[in-house]
Amino acid sequence: MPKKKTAAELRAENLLLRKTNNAIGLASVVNNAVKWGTIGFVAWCFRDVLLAFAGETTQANIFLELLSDLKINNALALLLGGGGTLYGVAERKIRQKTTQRLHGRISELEKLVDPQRSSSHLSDMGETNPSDLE
Amino acid sequence: MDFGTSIYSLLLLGALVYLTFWRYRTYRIDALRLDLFKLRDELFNYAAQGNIDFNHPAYGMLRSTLNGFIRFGHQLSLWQIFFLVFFTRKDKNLPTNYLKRWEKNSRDLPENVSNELNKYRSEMNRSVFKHMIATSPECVTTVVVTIIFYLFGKVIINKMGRFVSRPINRIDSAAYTFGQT
Repeated sequence: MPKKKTAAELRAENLLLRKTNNAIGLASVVNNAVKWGTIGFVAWCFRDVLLAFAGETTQANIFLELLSDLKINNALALLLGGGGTLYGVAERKIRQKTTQRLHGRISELEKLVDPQRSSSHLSDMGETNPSDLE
Repeated sequence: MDFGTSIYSLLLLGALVYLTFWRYRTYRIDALRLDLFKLRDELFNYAAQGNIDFNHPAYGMLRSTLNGFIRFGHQLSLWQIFFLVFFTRKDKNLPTNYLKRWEKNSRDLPENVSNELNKYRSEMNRSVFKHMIATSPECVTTVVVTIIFYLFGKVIINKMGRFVSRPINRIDSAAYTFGQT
């Protein structure tokens, strides 16, 4: 039986929960300001590009010059392609590690109920058995 | 000025922003949860082997802390730890002081068991700290900081030990309290 908490402990826990929620709220404001500030900047640049090509002058000429530079364009495309590929590889690794983590436990627990349990013989990461590739 | 190239660059920039602030962040939360689940499994297996009773307060405390971090991992950030340390800067002697409570709960454990549990606790804090650095927009946008932390995070955190112990104590207290709800 877990020990009953004293009134002082409960008050302290309540205080900590309130302060943690305040910290989470403030942190969320800051993190969202950075995120949406970046998106706002991209949207503002988009507006300026459209204005520039509609014949109106804007104050963001240096940045617009950069955007229309082919080298910058290629660098952004490379970053996106590379970043997207890395993201896909990382997600696959996580999926495999999750399978590996669960595989052992499921196998052990099922054997407790059914010692004659059959197996698919995939690897513990869920990959095709190497001997089945031939 | 090439209109097509400018628009294309902006679309690429928008896609990069989406990749960085949404997809990468979601991946990092999943990665943290996986690390902590694996740690929780190891802790469970250690207890199941008879090294520590499942009802021992130290086991319960460590498992609840892990559960707290797993459940609220999506809210962890450097700014959160900064504000939490600031708001609780006068709360040194409250019953929620994680380190004091941990020392009290693990006092009666044999040295080898206590060392093993402390190893799990250190690994938990390392994973959480690494996650906070890796998801901070300020660090992510300066990619170099994130890469350095990925490669040398363990060494950096060990060297910074004393400097980070107070924020870690605060965030462990919060995670343990949330883990019990």
